[in-house]
Amino acid sequence: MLNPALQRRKSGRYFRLFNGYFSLVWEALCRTPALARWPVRQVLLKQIYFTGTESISTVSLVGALIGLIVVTQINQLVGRNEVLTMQLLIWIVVRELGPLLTAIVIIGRSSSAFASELSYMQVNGEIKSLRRMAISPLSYLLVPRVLGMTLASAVLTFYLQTIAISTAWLISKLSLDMALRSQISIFFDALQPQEILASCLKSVVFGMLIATVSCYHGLRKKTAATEIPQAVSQAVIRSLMAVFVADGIITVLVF
Amino acid sequence: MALLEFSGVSKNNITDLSFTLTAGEIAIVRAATAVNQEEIIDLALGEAEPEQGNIRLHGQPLTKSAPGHTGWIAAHGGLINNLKIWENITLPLWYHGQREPANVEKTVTHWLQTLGIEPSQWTDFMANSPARLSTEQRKVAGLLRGLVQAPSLLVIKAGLWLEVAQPVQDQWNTALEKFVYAEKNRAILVVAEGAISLPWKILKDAI
Repeated sequence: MLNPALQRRKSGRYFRLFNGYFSLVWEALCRTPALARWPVRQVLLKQIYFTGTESISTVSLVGALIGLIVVTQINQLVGRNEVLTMQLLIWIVVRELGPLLTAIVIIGRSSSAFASELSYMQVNGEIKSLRRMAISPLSYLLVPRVLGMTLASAVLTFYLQTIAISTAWLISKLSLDMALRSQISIFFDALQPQEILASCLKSVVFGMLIATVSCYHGLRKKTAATEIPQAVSQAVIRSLMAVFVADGIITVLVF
Repeated sequence: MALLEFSGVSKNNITDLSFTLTAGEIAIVRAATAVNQEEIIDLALGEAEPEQGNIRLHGQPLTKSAPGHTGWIAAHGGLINNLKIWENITLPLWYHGQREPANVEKTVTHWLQTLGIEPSQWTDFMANSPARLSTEQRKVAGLLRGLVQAPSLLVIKAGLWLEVAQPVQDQWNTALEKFVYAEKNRAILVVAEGAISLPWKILKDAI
């Protein structure tokens, strides 16, 4: 068992960490008017391209495989039951796996990239150089990353869900001869606005959390290059933790 | 006319620093240590606030409220590695919304010529990333960024001249003098650490 002093120190550290994340989200939201500046918009476009466009092939593959795996398991479980199959597909892909798997792909691709890029800038004195040119690192580096990743997360989640569900329809048609038209009609009848809302909310919150956590660990003060791998691994692990915690909270609140 | 005024400024190891830099002047402030050198640069750029005393630019307290009025040239360029050289050079201008795009190109061309860079090299130089440039080329890019920004006060870290051949140094010094004399309300403050041989007067020594 941990001694009380160590426990207090640990809880203090987590409190500082959460405080740091929330302060950074708040800073990013308060500084959105910085998007009026052309260089900030340019960074935003680069981030959308890097996090969104360049992830399309990975997300397509993950989406198709998830559609295939999920519908195969459902068909094994319920047989040729169109209504139950579509309902389960909504529960699994729309409510949970769509936002969650997109977040995991984004963490794998971009969280480590954000943290290492910003850490390198920190160690290399580039952030200090920005400050000395009266360019706020929070406006120039944080705002476009948070907004870019949030936007990319929302769009990629929708894309992954579309690919997964289309694949599931196709597999059901090929393996169990379920008519495509009837599957689509049952699917949209079963889909509730609450489910669309939860999915959108999760994708936006996950994107914002991953960007903030990664930027936080990247922008923390560092003096040596040996601290960069530590920052990267902390960014990845804590982004994953933040996404799972947020998923739990949103699921409990919405459903 | 006083352009930059330090009056009884104290911050960490710096105590009671006072000097006046007048418009149309290039002058050197020599710090005793690298830490003090960084402190003076931060103070002169409004990045740090003095614990005591005050700093005035054009008679007004130096704050970050006038971005673009101060410019900065780092010892090794101080470039952002994920931007091309052209993006690096124009970053402060676009960020602070100081210039029309057509004027920027004209100004960059003017300073490229003044710094003696061959026109045949301009395109490659501008399209390159900092990591692919030599140390001297990175210094030129940093110098160019400061000159193109055309601030009232240009603060230079004296390491800029280190390991640079004398003819190149002379060319840079001429460009800096042209920059200061081109307009009335400009001055350059060189912040050095240790011995340095530059053709300008030393305002303060061994701070």
